[in-house]
Amino acid sequence: MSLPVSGRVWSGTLRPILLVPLLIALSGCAALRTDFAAVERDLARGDAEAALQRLGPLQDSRLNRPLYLMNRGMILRVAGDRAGSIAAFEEAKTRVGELQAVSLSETLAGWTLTETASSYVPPVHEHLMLHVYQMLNFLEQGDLDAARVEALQIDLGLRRVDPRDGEAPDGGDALARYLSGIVFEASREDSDALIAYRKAYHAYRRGGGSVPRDLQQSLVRLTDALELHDERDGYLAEFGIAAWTSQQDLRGRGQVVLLVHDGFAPRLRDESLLVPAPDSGHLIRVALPSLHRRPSGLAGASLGVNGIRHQAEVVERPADTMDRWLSRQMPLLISRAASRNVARYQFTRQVEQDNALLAVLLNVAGALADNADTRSWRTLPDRVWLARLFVEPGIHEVEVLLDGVAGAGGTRTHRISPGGLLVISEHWPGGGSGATAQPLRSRR
Amino acid sequence: MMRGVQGIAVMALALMLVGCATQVDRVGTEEVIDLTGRWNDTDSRLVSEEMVQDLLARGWIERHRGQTGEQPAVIVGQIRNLSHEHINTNTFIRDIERELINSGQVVFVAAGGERDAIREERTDQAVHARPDTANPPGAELGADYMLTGTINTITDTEGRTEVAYYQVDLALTSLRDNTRVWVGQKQIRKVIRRGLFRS
Repeated sequence: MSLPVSGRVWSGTLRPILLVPLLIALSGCAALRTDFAAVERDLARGDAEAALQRLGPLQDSRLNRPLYLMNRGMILRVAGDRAGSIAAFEEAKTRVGELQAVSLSETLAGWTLTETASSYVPPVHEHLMLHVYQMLNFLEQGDLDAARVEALQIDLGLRRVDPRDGEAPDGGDALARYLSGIVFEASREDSDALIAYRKAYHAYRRGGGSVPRDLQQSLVRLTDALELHDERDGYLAEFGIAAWTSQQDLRGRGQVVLLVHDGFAPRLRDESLLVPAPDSGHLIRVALPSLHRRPSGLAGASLGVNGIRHQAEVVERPADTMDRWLSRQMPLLISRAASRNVARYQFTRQVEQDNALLAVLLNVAGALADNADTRSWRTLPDRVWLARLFVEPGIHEVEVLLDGVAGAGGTRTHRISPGGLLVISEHWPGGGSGATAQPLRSRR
Repeated sequence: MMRGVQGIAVMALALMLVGCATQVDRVGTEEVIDLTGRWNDTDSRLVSEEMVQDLLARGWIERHRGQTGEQPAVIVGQIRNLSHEHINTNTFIRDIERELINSGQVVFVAAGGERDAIREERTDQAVHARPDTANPPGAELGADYMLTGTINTITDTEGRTEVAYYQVDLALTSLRDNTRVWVGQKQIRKVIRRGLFRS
């Protein structure tokens, strides 16, 4: 049975009435029904199982599938389930790849309805970190070839973003390039390693940060090995290096790399302004995201092998990258916010002619549905520290220390093979999440 | 003008709320399906078939028979994935093994991991099996040749078009004196054009 609905009724009253619940539904369409603060607290307590369960509601959200997979991959990784983490990150990469194409409906909704009605497409720096953590998963598993695949994918991805120089627009490529260099060097591909180290060096310089000491040494060592003497001398002068160990001398040794994933990335908050228009009384809402940092307070970290201590350095600051990314996005976000208000105003003005009450309802619902997009990869760290040591092959006592954190770190015995690469990751969630933090370790 | 904007907004809403039902179709394993343009089962099968055909058509088998009077025993060693994709080299190795065994021209020896499991079973047999049925240790067939190789890629991207060039290099090396008795190469070139729009 079909109900007779005249064109007049549909265009005059029924359509706006239907739009009210639609707008209200839309306001929650991509909203994160997951309590991320609780996920972080669970992780800080070392309860990855509970964190995964809390992430559950995000699982069935078509728009947030990549976000779910990236967070799931990170939680599984922290919990030591590398196979699960690798599977989640691989699926995330596939989904993100599919989202590179433009959705007309989502784009239109972004300009006319709300910011949160679109699929979550990770920005370049998150996409890079997806590869970095997948690379670390493989390295911790001892699968150097698979880690090398990630290094190649990082390069390919950056060349798509910036065909000329392969640089990330807001940064975040320094660690990706640096780790790629370590992977190429461990694979005995010195020229590829040098290219990756050079790109890491330029990324650090571009970001205004200092170049890590190990990267300085690596640049000198490889330019020397490849007989690029002018370039080597340039680095020696710039970094003030007087002596270095040659590539030849390091060939038979193994290496230990420590990465400390410190705290949680900043969160985005919805900063909304809701005011009535002075002349018409229509509600105007401008909803924009703002960045809130959550430093963990970790003072430092170090790697010790057979009693010889080596201080780790901060090699990536996702918080700074996110800050630059948000600043770059802001003009577009403001334009879209203005466009949505114009669309809402015109629409309610038209409905007003037929039904004043409905117009008010639509105006309120439309304004409430207009939210800032506060989605981001929240389980990323605030900072990443790195220390690297070359050691003679054999069995070694490897010690990890987090400065000022009682009970953190520890000592374990590892066998290092000639030319082997041992990667150790320590996740320090920090005290900012509101729970008593436990260091979480995933290592090869 | 306003009706247009209104219509577009309604359309955008409707499109977003449309769900996609899952549909599964069974297809033959011989059917070529390229979804993403990445290395897939068809590439693995075609490359292994063609390379093994080339391997078996060369003179090294006859030379080996002439020297020893026996069929050559081959083992598959490491095939390294040096491409920009995570390729499951195990399926590729299985495809090669199948083609070699089914040719009937070579004897095939189990590789590393499998060998350990077989040895474990043999040790178990020594304890638990009836003596007349237990297989003693020390009777394994040593391989005469080892097949090793790499999968490499070169990619080039312009806008939404990507050209992926896969090169598979295989080499058969004599375990007696390290001489290469066969080197084979197969290339696949794929042009992937990515759509500008999605639903």
